[in-house]
Amino acid sequence: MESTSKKVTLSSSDGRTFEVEEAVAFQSQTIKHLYEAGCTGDFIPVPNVTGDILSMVLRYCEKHVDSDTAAGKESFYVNKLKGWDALFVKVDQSILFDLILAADFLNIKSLMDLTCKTVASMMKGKTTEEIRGTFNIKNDYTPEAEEMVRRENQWAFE
Amino acid sequence: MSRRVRQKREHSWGEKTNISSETLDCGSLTSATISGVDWTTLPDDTVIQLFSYLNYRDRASLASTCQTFRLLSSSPCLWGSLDLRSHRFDTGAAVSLSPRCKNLQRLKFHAAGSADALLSLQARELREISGDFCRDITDAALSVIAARHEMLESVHFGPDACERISSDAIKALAYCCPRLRRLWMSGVKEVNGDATNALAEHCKKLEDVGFVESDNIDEVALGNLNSVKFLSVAGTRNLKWGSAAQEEVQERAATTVATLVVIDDENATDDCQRAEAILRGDGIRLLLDLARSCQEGLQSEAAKAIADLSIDSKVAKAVAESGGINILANLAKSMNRLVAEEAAGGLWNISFGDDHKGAIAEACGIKALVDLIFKWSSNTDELLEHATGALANLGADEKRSMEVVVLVESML
Repeated sequence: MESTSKKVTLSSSDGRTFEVEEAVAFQSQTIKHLYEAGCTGDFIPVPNVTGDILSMVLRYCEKHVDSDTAAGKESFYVNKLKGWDALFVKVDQSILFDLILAADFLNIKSLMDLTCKTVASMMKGKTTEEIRGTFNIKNDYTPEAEEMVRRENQWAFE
Repeated sequence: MSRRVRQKREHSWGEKTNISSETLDCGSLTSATISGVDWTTLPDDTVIQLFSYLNYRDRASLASTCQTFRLLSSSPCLWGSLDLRSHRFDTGAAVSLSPRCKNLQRLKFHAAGSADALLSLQARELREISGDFCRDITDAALSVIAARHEMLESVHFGPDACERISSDAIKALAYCCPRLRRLWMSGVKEVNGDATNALAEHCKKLEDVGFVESDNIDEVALGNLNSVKFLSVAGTRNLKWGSAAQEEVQERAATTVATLVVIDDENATDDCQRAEAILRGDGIRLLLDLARSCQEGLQSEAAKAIADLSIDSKVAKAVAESGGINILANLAKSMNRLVAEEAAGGLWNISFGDDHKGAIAEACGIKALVDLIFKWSSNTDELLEHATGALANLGADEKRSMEVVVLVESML
């Protein structure tokens, strides 16, 4: 990679700026493409992500910046990183939600996988009612529709 | 922010597929602007990714929570393949699954009277089916399955016997499914020449055929399957070409390993990297297991593979450590010339290192080798070359050279 020490500046939706190394910022495909297309001025705007969330995302990117290199693939390092990831997503639902949106917008695949898997693991083994409770999902079915959906999915429980 | 940047950003949003207008709105939502989180506003592709991490049971529970999730749970990309082996797959299940199976390409199922269920799925795009327990699928049923699924590329029924399937259904498959690449069935009643020839004529892409544990196969017609690269008739009875069995497959595998390692057979130069790959993959143990089999073709191919691999000193060490010397010494006593020859070759290659000479002597390898020379002295050059080569290496050691001399004298 050429001159890893080159910095870029990102600016969050609430106007906070973050100066990070290119390699860190470019884990976001969105930022990388913006930059390569020459569509950036002095700083790269990230208008959908707040400063709080962006700082978390950048912390994640810094941690993962080496994961593609040979050293980063060594099992010791991988395991350590996994542990770090597990702690990283131990956050409130609302933060997790924002992280997913940020990962989606910024197009950071590994963060997307991590956050989605975390949410999926919170759903595993739960009944429909339990999922509604955990994630505060409103039941918008009519009783008839709900019965139909139940029949439609009955096979999965047999 | 410059105007140009803004345009570009919006453009990049617009390019993202799978994102509905609803998602666009939620993209700008943050925890600061809403109280509590509305998970149903997640981008569609994110929800689909979420579903992809869940098993069918959990998917069903999540889909039942609200209309948004139900809609997304039936996205075609989640229904490309379906593994129903741990679920009951009957007509009822199939009917309720059918609307979601328009793009289903791969299906695995267990147990059945599910021929009817399979039809009820109405998965016209099906490419691969794999069934565990197809005792009850008849010729007629399979013919209809073939006729309704013209895109089929792979059909795998087994390991339980398909007792009610015979030539008629195979013929129907051949006529209906020209894309067939793989056909593997266990315990088919009969595959006659007509059926095989129909496959040869209509399924030009057929590469992999298995009629294992069958009662009756026209082995001559099998020769007409020109496109086939892998063929197994393991365990099939009434084959005129004799003892084809599971061992045949294993034997071929051992041959493959042997040829894989020795690129240039003339000079027996090994590719060290390949040898090491086999070493890492626990291949030595597998080969030694094969060498212990009671089937002679298998013994000789496994011994050959071990012999060829043992040119590499690391492999020779691994073979020795895994009890391979005993196995080879036993094989060298075989009444089958090929087996004895390859085993002698193995001992020869292992005897190059000083480390293993003692072990070969302990395993009565010297006696086996000397016996070999006398037993086969009248005919085969290669066998004698292997055996004498091994003895020469062993004899380079003074202590053991005496043993050789004594043995030879006693034989004379």
